[in-house]
Amino acid sequence: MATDARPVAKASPGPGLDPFRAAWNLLTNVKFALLLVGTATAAGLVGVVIPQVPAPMRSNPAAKAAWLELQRHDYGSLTTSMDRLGLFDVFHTAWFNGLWIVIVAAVTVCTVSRFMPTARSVHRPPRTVGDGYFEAAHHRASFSHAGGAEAIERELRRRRYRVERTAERGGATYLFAERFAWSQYGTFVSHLALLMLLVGGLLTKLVGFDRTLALAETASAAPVFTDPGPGQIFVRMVDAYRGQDGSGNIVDYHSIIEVRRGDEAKTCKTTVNDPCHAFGYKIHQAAFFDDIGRLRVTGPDGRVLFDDVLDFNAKATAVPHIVARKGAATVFDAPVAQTGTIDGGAAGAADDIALGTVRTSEGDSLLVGWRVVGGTLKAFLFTGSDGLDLAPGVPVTEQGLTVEMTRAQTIPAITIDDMPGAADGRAVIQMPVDSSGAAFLVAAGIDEGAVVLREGANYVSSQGYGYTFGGRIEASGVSVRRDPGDTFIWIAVAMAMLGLGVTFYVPRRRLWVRVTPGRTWMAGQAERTTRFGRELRQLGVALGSTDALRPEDLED
Amino acid sequence: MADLSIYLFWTGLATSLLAGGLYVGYVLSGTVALRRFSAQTEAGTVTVSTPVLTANPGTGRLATAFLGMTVAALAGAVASRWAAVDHAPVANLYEFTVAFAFGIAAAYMAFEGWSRQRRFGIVAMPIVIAMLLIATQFPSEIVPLIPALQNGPLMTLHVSVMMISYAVLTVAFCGAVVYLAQGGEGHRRFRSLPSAEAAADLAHKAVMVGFPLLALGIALGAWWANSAWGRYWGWDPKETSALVTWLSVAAYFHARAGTGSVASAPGIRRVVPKSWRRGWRPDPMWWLVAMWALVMFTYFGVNLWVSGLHSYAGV
Repeated sequence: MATDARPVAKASPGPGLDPFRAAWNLLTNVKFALLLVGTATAAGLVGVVIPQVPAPMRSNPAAKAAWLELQRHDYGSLTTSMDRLGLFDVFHTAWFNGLWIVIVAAVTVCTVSRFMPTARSVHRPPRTVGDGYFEAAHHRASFSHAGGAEAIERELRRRRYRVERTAERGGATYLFAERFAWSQYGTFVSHLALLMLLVGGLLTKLVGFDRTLALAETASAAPVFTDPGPGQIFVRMVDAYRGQDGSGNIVDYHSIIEVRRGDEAKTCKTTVNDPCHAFGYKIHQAAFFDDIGRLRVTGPDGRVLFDDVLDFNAKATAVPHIVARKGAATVFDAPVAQTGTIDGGAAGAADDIALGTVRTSEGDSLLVGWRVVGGTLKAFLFTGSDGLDLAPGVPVTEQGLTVEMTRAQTIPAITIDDMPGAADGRAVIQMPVDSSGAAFLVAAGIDEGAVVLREGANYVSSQGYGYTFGGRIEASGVSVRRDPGDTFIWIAVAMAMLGLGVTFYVPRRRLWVRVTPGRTWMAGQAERTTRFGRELRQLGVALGSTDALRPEDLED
Repeated sequence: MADLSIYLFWTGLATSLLAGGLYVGYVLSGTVALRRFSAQTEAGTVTVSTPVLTANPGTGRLATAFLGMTVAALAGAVASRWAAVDHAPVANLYEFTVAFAFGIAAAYMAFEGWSRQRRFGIVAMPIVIAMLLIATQFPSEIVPLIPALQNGPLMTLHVSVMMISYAVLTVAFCGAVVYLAQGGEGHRRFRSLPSAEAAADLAHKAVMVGFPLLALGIALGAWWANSAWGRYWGWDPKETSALVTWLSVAAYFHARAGTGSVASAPGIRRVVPKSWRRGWRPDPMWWLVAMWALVMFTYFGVNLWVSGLHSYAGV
């Protein structure tokens, strides 16, 4: 690389450090920009590779601690240090946000600082260069041809250059040519677009609204805002729907909802890809639940004590799925709900054995026990005083039935601490489905033994309390959102695409030419091509030169 | 139609193998061909053999012809799959990967035509073949589209633009590999391969197409996310990984714009030991290598090993 050996006059740093100037110099430096981009790249990659704490757990220390314990299995003793560094929540850490603040500052400073030089470069470009530049420029050509400066001017104009003669001295003619100078604003526009993106992002964060509601069918309308007021919006689930094809593939999720504000109401359908728009808000289908049941409890005096949904909220228990056959006929094919427990003696439930009953369609009854050992469900069949192991997929024969545990599965299960009529106020309720697919409740704690509640049937406990299972209810999670920032985002995207398009595809060229009677020199600038020098030499060929090309222009 | 798609896929794999072999043969023909020069001297006739740098043009034309057949067969495979599934076939990794292989082959063919330079095929074709072989490892059964993907226009646009951008950036990677193999600008280790300058030109031209397309693809994804989930950005692993890929290309442009060590930036040079500063100036083309590693990670790694909102687009 050619270097200028002459001493370069430097501005005196002056007494003391000017922090503003130092920061300005740093933020406008392209190497520093590269460092920032590289760091953002690495940080983003860390956030992708390392599991990130799920959003709902972020504000729940207990849930987050439990989640971190799970990560300890993979990251061992590093887990605590990684957590302290925020590596499990990269995108919400102070250092990541700080990095983006510096990037925002750098983009802002670059955008501001480049406007005047860009405008100067477009409107007042340097029309002359020293003769030495023709020998040292990265993109240059030198050749002999006929026609002199006029021929070059003609050829350049044919190629859409704006050409002007800048000087004539020492027998040489100097030309300055430029094409699409305005395209220099392209990078300015794309950097401005980045700023616009950040403005949009800030608006989203600061004034956007986002609330997720779980709405069950038949439940009363839920308020959207925590603070009541005249602008309060209520959303009621009319129908939560999940469609499956014959193979069990889910092919449709949607909810019919009623949105009400004051006296105005709007009923609309919301799907994953087509939200409902009401009162300036968008209501998105976010989730679907079918682990909700409806329960009605009446007291001994007939008064209704409880009549509402029983939300299992994804809580479940592991049970064996049993298939029993009599000859060729399948007489039972369902998960077995837990109806009792054998206390293992030790403190805690680790050595307890869960009990359940298989009641076949033929009226046979089998007692099944199971416990979870090392994360695996071990089931067995009680046969008098003995037990037969039920290994998954291995059938055993008992009472003329072929019994097989096909798999372990989970069924919704929840402990309710204030169940009316329960002996000590606590009841454990499970919601399995039977062989025909009908859901039912198994309640332990409201009477001696487990009580099975079939849909619609009323069970009266020994205390006189009545329990009616109203059936399984479907529900949807819907997100109510309003985001004033997104408009800025789409404007920014349009600006970025425009800026990139202009920067990359408008073939800007700037060219200085020195023409002497015997030889022509060209030197130029073009950011978006690595081979402008060859383009100049080929221009020489177009002018009739035979000595313009270099050997490397011929062989690739 | 589904069966026709499978037949065309295997046809594409077969023709790509032939094209790959022919590209290797084409490049090697420039190396192994020898020309003998004889001269009468006082010591008698002296014969000197020197390698000929011009590769066999017939082999090159045949390689391009088989590349064309690969593109046609894979286009047919994608089109017939589209007809069979009734939506753009980009909803699972098998469909993605076949479409990606088609995209790389088509993009490379376009750039080969533009650059009039066949020898980059020695890098591009093995990637196409590898993609097709990887596709054979994914289940190709047709399953109904899950509700989240049931937005025909946006799914087609977003995934197709992402796929095309990745395909074009793969061509940029091919240029970067040749450039770096040659030892960088001004060097030429392998006479049979294109010059470093030609490789840099191809890489840069491809990046100039791929970079805005990647930006557009990410923006279309944000648009879709905004309409489906109500937010345009959520730091989901797939979208973050795509952004990281985009940032790596942005880093390439910034690396090209600057000279000297990164550590010599004002402020930075005060805190970085002098001995480290010189080493902080890798060739900008290394960013394109990193970019392609990130493309592969985004494409396969995130789908197979990282769970997120795009996990439905897995195997």
